[in-house]
Amino acid sequence: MDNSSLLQSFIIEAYKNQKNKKSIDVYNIKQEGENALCGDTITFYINVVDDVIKDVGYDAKGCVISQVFTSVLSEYMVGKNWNKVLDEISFDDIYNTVGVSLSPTRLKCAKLPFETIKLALNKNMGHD
Amino acid sequence: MYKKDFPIFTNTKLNGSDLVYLDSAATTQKPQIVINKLKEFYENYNANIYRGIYNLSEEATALYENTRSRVADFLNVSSSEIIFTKGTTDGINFIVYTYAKNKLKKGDLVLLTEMEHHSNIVPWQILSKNIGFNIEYVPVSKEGKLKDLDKFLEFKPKILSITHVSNVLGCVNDISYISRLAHKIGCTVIVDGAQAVSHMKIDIKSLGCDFYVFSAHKMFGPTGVGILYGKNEILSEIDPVFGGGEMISSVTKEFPVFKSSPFKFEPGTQNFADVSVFSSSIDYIDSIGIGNISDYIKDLSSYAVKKLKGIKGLHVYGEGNLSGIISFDINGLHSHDIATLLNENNIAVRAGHHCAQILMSSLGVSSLTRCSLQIYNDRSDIDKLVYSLDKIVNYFN
Repeated sequence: MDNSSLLQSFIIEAYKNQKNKKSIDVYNIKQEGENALCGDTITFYINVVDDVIKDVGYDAKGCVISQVFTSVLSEYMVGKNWNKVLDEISFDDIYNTVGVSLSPTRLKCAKLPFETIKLALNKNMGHD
Repeated sequence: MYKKDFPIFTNTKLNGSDLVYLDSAATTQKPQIVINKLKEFYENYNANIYRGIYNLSEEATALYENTRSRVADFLNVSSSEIIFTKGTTDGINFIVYTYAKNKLKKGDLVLLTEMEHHSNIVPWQILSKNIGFNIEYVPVSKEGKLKDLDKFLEFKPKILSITHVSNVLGCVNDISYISRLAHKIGCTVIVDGAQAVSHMKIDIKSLGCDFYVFSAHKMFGPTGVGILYGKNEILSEIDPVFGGGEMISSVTKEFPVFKSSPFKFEPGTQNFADVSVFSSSIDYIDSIGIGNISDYIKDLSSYAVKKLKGIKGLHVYGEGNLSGIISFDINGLHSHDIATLLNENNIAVRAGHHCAQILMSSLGVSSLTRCSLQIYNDRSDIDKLVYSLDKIVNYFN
């Protein structure tokens, strides 16, 4: 299998083992995100204590790409400073980790979790 | 057996795989005869139509008008009833602003159906915001049957705008019957024929509708050409919305005198090269025979549905509609993933809401995968699709 394929083992494994795809009881940030084109939806539940992300849970419906990128991002987020989380993890980092080659249309699916976190950060900073 | 007529199948490979093109409802591939004709036009006939008092312009004009006659014969109508547009969407917008805008008043009703493409919904919604008429949508069963059309007609809609063939379910609406019902209450019937013209015999006189619109590019022709049929008695009564050169008999400082239809509706320099070339698409269809195309697509659709239904977790929507449009979903898989994975084997399908979000919502799905067939497809294309889908399902289970 070509390692740019959507069927590469990393993606299939990550898709089948999304350990943060769970509800968490204690959270202080909830953010929904949607990609209207595909119908992908994500809801993040994040527990932040003293600016540090202690726990992340999410509910996601949609394509493999959006779910795998959500899963990988959520795992990177735990332990990071919430306010600086997107300074510490870039989309390119996750894209390289997943290692799939995506067309411009599918990139929107991959970016959905990042856009959703950005929405939450903007809200948090009083921008929304 | 017709694949050899279409050079794209020889010219394009992906990772060594031949192209399996199953997206003809979006646009059809072009046969060599049409491609040659476009080159031939620019090499031998290119001049602006109508105004030139020289051979080249007169030849170009004759080719342009020849297409109008060919289209009129193809549909069994008069040439004066054929207006060239940019495509189906442009045609519907033309009707909305040139005809419906003056006909409709606040409180009137426009009837659409739940299976309409966005191109037959959004223009009405935009105009409705300005005028204040109401829009109702005739519900559709999961198989694609209209429900309670007669009851909706009791509300006396002024206009019914409906697709001939659904771009998602492939179901065929009985336009002759619908036109008769609608005309009994004086309701104008507009038909979106985009998904019908390439594989069904269209006889407008027997359909009885007032307007019929479609696109050349979905019937082996060039992009940027649409055809609008309108009944002579309607077209002669309405004024153009767009003005410019060539559509007038005379211009004064007051108000112009318009030419007759169709010329008053085609201002400025038209897309004369592509329109001229479009006659060769009709030649191509005629060389096979529209009846043969229709039979071939029915047979291939039937084969495809049977094979697809053998895939674990796959559900076909509107499976009895053998019009070459087959939409399906597979348990637990998103249509965009299916399309991305099929693309890895050079299989082109369409995935998503197919510009039919109202229908998607009525079917209770957010997206579907659609394969749409044409005469250049054969059973080996279906076998490749089914083989790849089987593999995808196995990977994810």
